[in-house]
Amino acid sequence: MTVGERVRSLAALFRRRRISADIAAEWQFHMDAHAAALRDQGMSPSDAEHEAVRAFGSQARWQERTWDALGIAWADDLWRDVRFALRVLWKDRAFTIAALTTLIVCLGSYTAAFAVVDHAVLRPPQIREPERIVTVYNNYTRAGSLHAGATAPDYTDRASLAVFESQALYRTRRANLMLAGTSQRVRTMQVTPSFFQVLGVGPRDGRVFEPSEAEPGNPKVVVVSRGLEQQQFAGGSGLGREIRIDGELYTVVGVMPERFSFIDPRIQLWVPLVLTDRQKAQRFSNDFTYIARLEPGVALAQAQAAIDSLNASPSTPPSRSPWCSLRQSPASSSAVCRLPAAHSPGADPLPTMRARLRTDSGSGRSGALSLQFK
Amino acid sequence: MGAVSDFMQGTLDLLILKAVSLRPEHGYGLLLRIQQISQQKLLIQQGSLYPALYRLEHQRLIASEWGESENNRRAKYYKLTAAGRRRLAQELASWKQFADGIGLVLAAGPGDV
Repeated sequence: MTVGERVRSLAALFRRRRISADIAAEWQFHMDAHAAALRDQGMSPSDAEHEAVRAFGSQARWQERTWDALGIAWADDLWRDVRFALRVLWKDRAFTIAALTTLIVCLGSYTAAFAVVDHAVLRPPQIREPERIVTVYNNYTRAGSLHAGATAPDYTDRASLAVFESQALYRTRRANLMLAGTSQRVRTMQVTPSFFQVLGVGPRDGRVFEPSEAEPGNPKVVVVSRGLEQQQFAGGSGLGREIRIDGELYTVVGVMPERFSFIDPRIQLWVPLVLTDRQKAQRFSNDFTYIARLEPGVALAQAQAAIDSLNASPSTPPSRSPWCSLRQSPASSSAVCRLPAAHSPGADPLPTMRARLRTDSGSGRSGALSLQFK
Repeated sequence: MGAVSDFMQGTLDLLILKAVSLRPEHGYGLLLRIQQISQQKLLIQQGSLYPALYRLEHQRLIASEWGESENNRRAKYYKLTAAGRRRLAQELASWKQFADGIGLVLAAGPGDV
C-alpha cells in the first residue's frame, strides 16, 4: 500500500457513514437493475427480486470485502488502539496527569535550556564567521614566558601579510565612568578602529571608529554597549551624549547591538586605542592582544608559516626585552590560534588556549611548533 | 461448456480497467458489458465486482461520480483516470506476453521438442 492509499484509508475511516450509504445505494441500484432485466426475460417480479439477491451472493461478505478494498481494516485497528489507549489513560487519571506533567516540565525545561544554549553558545555574539578569527601571541621560551601577548610593532609589521583580511589590537582596562554626577567603575576595551571590522560586527546605532580617531589629538569618542545606554540614558538614545571616562570627556558615537559580547560580556565601553610613538617602537612590551581575520580559504598552518617567515626575516628585529639578562637573545616565536572557543562570555583567549612551543635546545626560533588546546 | 467464473489473480482488475476504458459506466453496466463482449464466456460474480471497483478507485486507477442512469435512476459511474490508463497499457502488454507464452507451450507438438 502506498502512503497516499494509507492516508485515503484513514480519511475513509472518518467518512464511514457516507461510504456505507454509497455502498448501500449502489447495491440497491444493482438489485433493481438486475431484477428488471430478469423481469424482462419473463420472470415474475417477486422471483426476479429473489433471484437478483441470490445471484449477488452473501451481502455481509461483500460489504466486508468492499471495506477491505478501501484499506479500512488497518485504519480501523489503529483507531481502535488509539481509543483503547485513551480509555486506559482516562481510567488511571492520576498516572496520566503525573506522566503528562513530567513530559510538559521536561519538554519545557529542555526547550528553555536549548534556547539559552542557542543564544549563548551556538549563535554567540553576532560575530561573522568566527572560525576565521585567530589570535597571534608571542612565546619567549628561554625567558619562560609562553603566553605573552603582542606588541604594537607586531601589528604594524603584519599589516602587509596576505593571509589576513584584517587585524586588530585590543586591551581591556577598568575605568572610572562619570555620568550625571555619579561615578562608577566600568570595564572598557581599547581597540584599534579595525577591531569591529575583524569581528564583522557593526553598531546597533551610530557608527564605530574612523582610523583617524586612533591618532593622538583627535576628539575623543566612545562606543557603548546597549546595556549601558539603557541604564544610563533612561531609555533614550545615547548618541551624541557626553560621558567622562577617567576624567576625560568622550562623545558617544555608537551603540553596539544588544547581545554583542567579545571575550568579556561585562565590557561596556570601547574606546580607540591611541598608540604613542613610544609604544609603536617598543618591541618588548606585549601589552596587547592581537586578533586577525583569516582571508577566506587560508588554513591555520598557512597563517603560522607566514608569521614564522615574517619573524625570521632579517628586516624584523626580534621582539625582545632590552633588559633581558640572558646572554643569548631569547628564542621567540609567535603562535597562531583559533579564537571561536573564546568568544563565549568570560573566556580569555590566552589561558584557555595553551599553545606550547617546543624548541630543540639551543636551536632558537626554528623549533617545531605544537599547539595543544585544553 | 459453462462460462469461466474463476479468474486468475489480477485478471478481473484487467477486465474492469479495459471495460471502463471503453466508456464510463456503472457497476451493473460493466458486468453486462464484460459478459456481452466475451459472448457470455466470462461470468463475473456480482459480489466480487464491487470490491474490485472500490480497490481500483482507492488506488486512483478509476474515479467515480454519481449520475443519472438510462432509466433516470441515481447510479455511480466509473471512469478511467490517467494513472488507470497507464496501468491498463502495462497490464495489456504483460497479458499479451503471458498469453503468447502459454499459447506457444500449449500448441507445441512432439516435433517441436
